[in-house]
Amino acid sequence: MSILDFKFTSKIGNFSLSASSEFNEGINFMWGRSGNGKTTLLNSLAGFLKPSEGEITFSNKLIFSTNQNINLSPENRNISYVQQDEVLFDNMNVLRNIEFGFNLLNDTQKKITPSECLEIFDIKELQKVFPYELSGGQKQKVSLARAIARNGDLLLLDEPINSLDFVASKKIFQSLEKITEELGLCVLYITHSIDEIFKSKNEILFIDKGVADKKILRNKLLDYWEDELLINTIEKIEYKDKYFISDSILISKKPFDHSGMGFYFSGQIRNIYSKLNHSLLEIKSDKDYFVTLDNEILNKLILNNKDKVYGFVYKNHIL
Amino acid sequence: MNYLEILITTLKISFTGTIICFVFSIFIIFIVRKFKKTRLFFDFITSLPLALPPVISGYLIVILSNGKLSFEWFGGSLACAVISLPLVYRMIFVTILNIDQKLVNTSRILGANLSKTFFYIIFPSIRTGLISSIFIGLIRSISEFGATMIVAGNISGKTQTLSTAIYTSIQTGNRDSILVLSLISLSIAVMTILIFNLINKKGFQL
Repeated sequence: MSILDFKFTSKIGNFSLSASSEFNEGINFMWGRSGNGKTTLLNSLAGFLKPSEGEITFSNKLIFSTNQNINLSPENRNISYVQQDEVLFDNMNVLRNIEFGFNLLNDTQKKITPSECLEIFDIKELQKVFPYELSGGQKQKVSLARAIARNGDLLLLDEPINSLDFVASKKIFQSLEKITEELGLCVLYITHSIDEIFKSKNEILFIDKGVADKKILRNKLLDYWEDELLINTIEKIEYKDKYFISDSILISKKPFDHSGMGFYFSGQIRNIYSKLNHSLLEIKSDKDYFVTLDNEILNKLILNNKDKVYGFVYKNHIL
Repeated sequence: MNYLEILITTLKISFTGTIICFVFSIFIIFIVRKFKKTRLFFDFITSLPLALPPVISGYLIVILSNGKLSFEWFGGSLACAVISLPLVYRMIFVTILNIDQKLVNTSRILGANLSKTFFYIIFPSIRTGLISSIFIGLIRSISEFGATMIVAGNISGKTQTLSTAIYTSIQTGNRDSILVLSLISLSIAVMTILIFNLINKKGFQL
């Protein structure tokens, strides 16, 4: 039996979303192009939008049903939600923002405290600060901490860390994974980041043209990815405490015999995701590396899964 | 001329008028939000006192109350309320219209019911707008003349306000009274405008 189970139709103006799926504990990703209904889906689950028909079951409890005339209000659904461009309460400082939902809970519902959330998201020093003094990234951390401190069993996240830089977002994501596991949360996560999606162990709910009923494996998702998007997301690799984005990576099956100014790495090919013109290599090393290559080059190099490869990135491409 | 008495009467009539206007505006906005189709009608009705000469608005109050409010201070308050209505109503309407639905949604998904959401989230965000609308109503009521004169008259010690007392002084050519009354009016105007500006500047920190 799944924790979250739904089948409903929601309408906003001329747009209609037909959603049907089920989810269990862990981080579950949703992917779709803009305007295809991702936010509509989360708003319907949260109770901000009333579906025209269908049912939503969460933790064996019917929270919405047109047949049985049930429509629990958002405050009674036990759901935490970080909306896209989430807003903080301007009249409260960071600590009071995070405590807001927590203070409305009874003792049995309290599994994680606001002070723990402040520490997890590394915002302890911001607790007395008011929202208008925060940067976009800090606001997203506070929003996440506030949602976690609400202690809901279902966590809905709509691009929650898109304002953070690569290093910060990776750290936050790791914290999120840890909390999800510790608290046994069911997380529904919307992202456009290839890095985040490629961490998914579960199938990804694919939303296309108002239909959300298909779960696909992450490598299948590349079939729906635009070539240019894939190319532009070539790589984000940690380089000591910095990171770089580069489209000038040399890949070789033999060690490089030169020692140029740049960054060398090596590893084993874990996966090759091929598209019409390009392929994405997932290279397992001390860290995960993603490199896109022209298919022509890939064929010339005769690269296969589990092959050991060597990589080099020019220093002038290191940010 | 008893200036203190005039000042007290002016403040009594103005404050009461502003409260009536504020409560009435909230009531209309509640109806408009509940029954959206009534908005055009109420927008028209609440704008009328702005377009009509105040004496006509005053005369309508006399007619509609069947003369019962004539020469009564409460009649003067009602006249002030009607004249301030276009300003107060619109200001509150814009304030309420600007409530961020995302804030309300966030509060509710965090577990707050509607009354807690109103008390902790909505009210603090509209408080400045509401207090500003009260001050706008008060400023307009204190300077009100035409409608008040028609409804409440100009009875010394009963319904005589700063505006009507200045009118009497001008009629009788009492320059000293004109000066004193004008200075009192100016002081009140400066104070209320200063407080109004201070409230708007301080915003949430109020």
